[in-house]
Amino acid sequence: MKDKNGAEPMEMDEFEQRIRARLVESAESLNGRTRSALARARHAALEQLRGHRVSMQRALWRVWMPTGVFAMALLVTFLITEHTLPSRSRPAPPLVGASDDFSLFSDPDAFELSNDLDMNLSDGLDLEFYEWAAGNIASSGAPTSG
Amino acid sequence: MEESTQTHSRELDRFLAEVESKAFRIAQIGLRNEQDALDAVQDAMLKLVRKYAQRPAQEWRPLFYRILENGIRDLQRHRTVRSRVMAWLPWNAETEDFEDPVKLAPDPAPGPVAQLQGQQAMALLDAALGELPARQRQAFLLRSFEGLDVERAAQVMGCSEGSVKTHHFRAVQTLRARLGDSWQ
Repeated sequence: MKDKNGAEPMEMDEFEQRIRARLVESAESLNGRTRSALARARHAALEQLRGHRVSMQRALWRVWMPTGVFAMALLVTFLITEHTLPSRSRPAPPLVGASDDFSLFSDPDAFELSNDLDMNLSDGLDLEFYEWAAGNIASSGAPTSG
Repeated sequence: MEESTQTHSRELDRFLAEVESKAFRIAQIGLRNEQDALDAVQDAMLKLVRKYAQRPAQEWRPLFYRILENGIRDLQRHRTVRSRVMAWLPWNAETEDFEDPVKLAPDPAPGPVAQLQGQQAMALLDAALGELPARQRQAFLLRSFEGLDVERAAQVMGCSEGSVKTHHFRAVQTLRARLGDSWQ
């Protein structure tokens, strides 16, 4: 049969049992001053345990509070940046007419025409072209190419 | 959370209350001084609570006694060094063995012959135990007084189970030789 500590009780001869009985008796009959000192020591140790737990909670609080504040500041900064400067963070919209530019570059005639137009424009307004285009619109309702 | 903390604290309180008297007697026998013994027990309690309070309760006993035994050994060493140093200082020689007169005063409780005989027997036992080699004394007190099994006593003493058995056997032999088989 095991004792409360989970240990098998040891077999002792009579001599040992007498010694043990004396020792147990002496431990149980300690004077009041010693008992009081031991109780104070025990309470001091347990008080330390409570104090340690409180200080651990304070230490955790000291670590987590700045971390939380920092995380909150990051979140606020992100939200402000996101809403006030949308063009920075959002993807650029697709270019309207990009396919037209591509067809312009791929067609040699259209490219020459474009160059001619640019050259004329750089010299000044090509009034003949605009008169011709306006005439076309007036006669057919829409400009015709060529 | 708070409730489990209180339960844990109560368990520790119960454990320390259970071992404190025996621990004090073990320290007193090893150090032969009441105040040093109280210091050793208090130190062991503080260290156990500070370092091992979160360990499972069944581990507290061997840990506590291991801390206590280390404390007793440290105090013995410290005292040996101090006494060697003090031996060179003649002006401290008289105060070194000073005893508190309150402690020396007779116990006010009635002292029948039986009690006197008991006290004498106890004093003889304390002296015999105190004169044992440290390892034998540890093995004997942990096994026969505190009731630790061989495995746990070996944990406390930091040696093999075989060594514990050997030290314990020799301690019993030595005590039998010093006190006499009919001691009681």
